[in-house]
Amino acid sequence: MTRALGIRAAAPAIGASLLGVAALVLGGCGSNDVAVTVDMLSFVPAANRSDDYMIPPGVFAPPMALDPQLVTLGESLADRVNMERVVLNFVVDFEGATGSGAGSADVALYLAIPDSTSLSDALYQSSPIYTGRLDLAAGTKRVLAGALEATAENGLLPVFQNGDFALGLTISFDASAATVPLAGRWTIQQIDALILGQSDPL
Amino acid sequence: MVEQSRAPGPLRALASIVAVLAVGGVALPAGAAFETARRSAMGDVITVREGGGGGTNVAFRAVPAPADRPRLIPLPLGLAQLAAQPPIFDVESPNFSALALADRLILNPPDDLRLTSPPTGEDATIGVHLAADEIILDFGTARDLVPSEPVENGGRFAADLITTRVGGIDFSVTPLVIETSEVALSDDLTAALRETVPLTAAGIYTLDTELEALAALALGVTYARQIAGPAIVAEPGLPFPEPPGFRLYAGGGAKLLLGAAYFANTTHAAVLPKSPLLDPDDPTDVEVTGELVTSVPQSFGSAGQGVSFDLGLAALHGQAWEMGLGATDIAGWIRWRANRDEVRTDEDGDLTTIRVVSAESHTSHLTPQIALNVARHFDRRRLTLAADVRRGIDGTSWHLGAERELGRYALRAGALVDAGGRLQGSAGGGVRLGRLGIDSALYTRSANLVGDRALMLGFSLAIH
Repeated sequence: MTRALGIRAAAPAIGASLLGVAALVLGGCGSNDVAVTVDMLSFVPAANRSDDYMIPPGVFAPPMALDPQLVTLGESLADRVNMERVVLNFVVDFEGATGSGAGSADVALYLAIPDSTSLSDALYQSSPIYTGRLDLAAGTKRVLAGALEATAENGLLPVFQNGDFALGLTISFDASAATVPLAGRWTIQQIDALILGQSDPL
Repeated sequence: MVEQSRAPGPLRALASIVAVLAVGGVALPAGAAFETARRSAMGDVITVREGGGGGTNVAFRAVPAPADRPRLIPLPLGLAQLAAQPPIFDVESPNFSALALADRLILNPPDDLRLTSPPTGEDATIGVHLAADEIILDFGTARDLVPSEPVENGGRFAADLITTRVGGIDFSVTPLVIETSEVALSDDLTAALRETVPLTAAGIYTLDTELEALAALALGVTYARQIAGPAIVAEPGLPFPEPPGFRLYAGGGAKLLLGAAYFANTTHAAVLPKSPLLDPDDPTDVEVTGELVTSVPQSFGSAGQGVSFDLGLAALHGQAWEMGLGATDIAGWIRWRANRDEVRTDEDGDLTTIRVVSAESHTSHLTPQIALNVARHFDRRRLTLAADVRRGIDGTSWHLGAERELGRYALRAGALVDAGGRLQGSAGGGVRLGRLGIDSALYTRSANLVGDRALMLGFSLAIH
């Protein structure tokens, strides 16, 4: 079962523009520390941030994949901020509201520089930047919280420095060992990036 | 072979100054710079003892110097402070800050020691929160640098380069630099930048600026004389007697102005938010429209030409009263051969200039400077109370000062309301050791974007 979750892209070009205006207002501040928070989850329609799941016993469900999302930081922001550290945070929770079954959920986060052909191919053919597994239990809310630092070594810092990048997320369920249906509700609580750096002087 | 023409040296130097001012959009210091510690301690008030406030009233040129007027030499210790922490001019340096540069060199000239510094924003952390339907900008400690109301700044710098007196007439050559600026942000933009109010698609975000800067050489002719009251006759080797009674002095002058550089710019910048706010296919535009008028003469023959006039009256009554009313730059104007450009963003969002008119006649007008001062002396000048009001490019300022001499010591205090309406305080003292004296002043000054006070400490020598 594969299903598109329909997350819209984040393109904070206005942020870059307003950042430029703000810099103009400040009359050319020097190398200020800059902290940019990109709230990617805010672009997801509220109806798509959460959904029920119901996996029959003995079934390993194929991943549900988000529509790849193009995130554009904008030239001005990418040029104006010397990115020194980028930290990704995401939180997905699973609630076994129906109180039956047991199994696990796997979450994978993807981030890549988009190529000129297919955003989806470029993204999901790359290796996930983070994978996590949660054991699900009846009647229990489980939370998968991940934090990841983008560095030059893991190849993620250049992705942010590129200005444009694609974001994707997959969720798969494993109820192969369950004797009753694995059911509940998943909710994406947070996907954001904190970019720390210094502004270039005018 | 065609030789490239270049502006004559003095004009070129002045043109460089005005270019820096114009591009920087900064104001010359509103208050007095490189003043004596005595005057700084007395609220920058005008008194005859210090020459009647320089060039604010040409009539004071005819007033004989008081017998007790020492020669005062400011000690610009701020230069040492500047040398100890030199500013960074390298724009490629990660520590370069145009704002800090303007603060240290132009807004607050390095005359006296700065004991405290107003914020320049260079150390602030800028926070940006980007979400689908709102953007929040947080400038941290630099937030207060964003003006809450339209800001008007201006300054006039003039210092006699050459002066000579022939037959009672003063001739002078004076570099003149004048700058005015006005910056206004829309209410929504002010709230977003000062109060971290989210930017939304419904907001109106505009920035309007008006800048005008010029540099000129003023060739001045000034005549002042006593027109009423008993004359003072100087005797060789003796101080001037100060006869009782009323004495009236009048003066007038005319200046031929050779314009070296002119820059005027009006700009309207507007962010045009769209809905949804963050749309990759339809990014938000910044639209800039404006006009640029520039003139940089390449020779004396093509220099801007103009005139201005000065008038002044001064009255003294014995050793008790002194009063003055002076005006400079009356009916002043300079006619330039200027280029006019239209400034706007093109379809790609790039800023472009389009020449509309070349070498058209453009006249800039000078703002008259007016100074009214009064001083009352008591106890054979051992106690002085003085006040003045001055109307200049940057607005109106009010000054109060007092001095009490106790033998070889002097105590001074003052207050002023600067052109921005901010109250400033001052205090100081002096001591005389033989023919040499030293004065000190502790005072506040608000020469920065938002008017925060800096505490200053100044010293000057007095040679009696």
